[in-house]
Amino acid sequence: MAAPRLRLFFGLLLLAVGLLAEGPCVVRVEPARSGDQLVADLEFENLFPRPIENTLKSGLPIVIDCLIEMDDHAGEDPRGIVLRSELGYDVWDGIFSLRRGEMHVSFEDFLALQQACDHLTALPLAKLSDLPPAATFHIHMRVAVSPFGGEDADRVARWLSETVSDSRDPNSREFRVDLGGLIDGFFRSTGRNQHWGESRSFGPYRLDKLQEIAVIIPSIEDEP
Amino acid sequence: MNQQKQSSFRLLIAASLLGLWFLATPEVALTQSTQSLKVAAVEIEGTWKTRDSVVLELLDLRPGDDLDPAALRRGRERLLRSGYFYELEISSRPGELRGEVILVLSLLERHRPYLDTGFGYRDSGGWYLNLLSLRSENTLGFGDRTTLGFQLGFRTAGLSLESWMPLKDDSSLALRLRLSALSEEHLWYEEEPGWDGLFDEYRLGLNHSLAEMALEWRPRKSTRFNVGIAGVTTEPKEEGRNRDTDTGIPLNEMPAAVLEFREQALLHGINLGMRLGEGGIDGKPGHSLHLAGRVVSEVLGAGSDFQRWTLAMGSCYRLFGEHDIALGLRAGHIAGEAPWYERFHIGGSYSLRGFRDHSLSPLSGHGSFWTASGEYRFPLTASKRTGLSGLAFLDLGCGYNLDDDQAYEIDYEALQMGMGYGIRYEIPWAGVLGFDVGFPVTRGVTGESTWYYLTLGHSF
Repeated sequence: MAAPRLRLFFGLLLLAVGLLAEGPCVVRVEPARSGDQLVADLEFENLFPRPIENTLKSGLPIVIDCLIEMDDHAGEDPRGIVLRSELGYDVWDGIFSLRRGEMHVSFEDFLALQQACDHLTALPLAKLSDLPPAATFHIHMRVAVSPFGGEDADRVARWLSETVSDSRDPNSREFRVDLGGLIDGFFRSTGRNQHWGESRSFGPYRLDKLQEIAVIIPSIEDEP
Repeated sequence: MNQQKQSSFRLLIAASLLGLWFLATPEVALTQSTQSLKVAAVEIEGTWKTRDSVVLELLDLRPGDDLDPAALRRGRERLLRSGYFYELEISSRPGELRGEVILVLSLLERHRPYLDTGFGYRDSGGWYLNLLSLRSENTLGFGDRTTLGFQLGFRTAGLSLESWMPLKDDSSLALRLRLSALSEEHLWYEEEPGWDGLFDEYRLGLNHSLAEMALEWRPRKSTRFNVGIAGVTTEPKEEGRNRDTDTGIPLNEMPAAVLEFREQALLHGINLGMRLGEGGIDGKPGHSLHLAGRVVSEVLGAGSDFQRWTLAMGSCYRLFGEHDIALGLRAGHIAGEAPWYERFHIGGSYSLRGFRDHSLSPLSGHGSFWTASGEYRFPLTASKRTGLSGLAFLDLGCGYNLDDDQAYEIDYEALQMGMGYGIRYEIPWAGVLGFDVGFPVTRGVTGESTWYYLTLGHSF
């Protein structure tokens, strides 16, 4: 076992590398029109750094959340969707799986899964009939790759408050708040959600100038 | 015979073709995997002072255990909520054998103490603000905790220093040290002279100082025992107060039960405690039992000889959905000659709702009591996320063994009953705040028709 100082050094190095390494992100967005749908081709990077790849290959699930927001040229009329992909690996059958909404696809190797996750084709974003015909808009995107379960894991924030009771007196209760943590959270407004990559913006795009493509896709029923 | 052979052969070919078709379809799993992943090893990185055993105890996953994402999320939550670490990252990699997982925990330890604030409630002292307290978690690296706090409330004020230190790696045995200096105002009610049915609220302050050392043993998660020795001094203040007329009452004008213990009392003794079960008390489904005892003895240098025992039991049953039935029972008994402030004073949000705090007992208290409560708890909204729930309750109970030297016009040993309703709001990661409205079914003592309570958590 390494000496404590050596362990501390490697631990800090590991965390520093983790912090400095670029997180998951979208690198290319190509919106298009398809019938009454606004769709987009997306290309991602850094979805599978080594720790995530190892976690997946050890049999534990990975969740990829993609937050997609659109707004007009003035930054108003925002709309958004969250695209969630759940990835798994059956260590006994050697099959990788990808679940996205109603879609469930299996792959026999990791590279095929990675290819399917890195490139999304004709993803529905909005109904064209809901948008002004000559609208100019931006697309903002942010990606999170979370091991073991996604949104619920991200919600496990640092401990800030709790109610405690004295084991010797079941009638006593105390509500305790971490004042330092509250102040810290106030000044760091984005919080420390370590699985999210940086937000990237694309555009502006003009709706009437987009390419028309023919794709059979399920329509968007509701805007989340 | 040849025909039979040919039929069998055709059947075999058909079965083989069917099998080949299954094999050729990549999306179809041949077998539903029923095997589970197993933890091969847990590697811990980044810790300097924290023992691996403390981390493993919080994670609750060890080599050889089955591993599922839910268990891992719970472990991650416990590690983050311990307050020992700033950051935590869990990853994994395959082990040597198929199905084995090596968990890798990267931790950033916290070295600064916490600065807390908050508020609380004690039956003896009422509501108070925890103005400021310093809390140091895991200072020595084995899951220890030290807290220095300053409290101020309507009826209580004081300072306390508490330290908790595990003596075993799995924290099943721990030492607790406690020093406190506290002032609490004791409540009682007396009929206003010349006014039938009108009661004034009286208060008399008590100064307590405490030094306690206790051993806690937790053989299982749901079982806990503690035994300790405590040095306690209690002294009444020189003057009480009629809160309604805002007049002072000198101590020498107090009832005989108070005068008997007007000097500083040494109440050194042994404290015993037992807790069995989980849930039931504090709103969660389940059953639990608390038993606490205090043996004060002249052998230990005390000025009195008495034993004080209290029992609290709670059961919460899930009917359907989020609808629960909760039952609670409390009881207490004092053997020997105890000072009036050590005896039982019932009435209020954690004993009998529908009545004012401590209003169902005289100043000298009861030597024994029991209370029973029933609650029906239900969600107020369809979505669980709002955290709002309602409840309807029925409380009943009474006290016994009054101070024999005192003659009372009021029947303090009558059975009392109260009922009402309330609302609870669950704050995520924090706790439950509540508001109850109680109506006395029996007459009580002070005669109010309705009484309101703010609560922290559930009443039982």
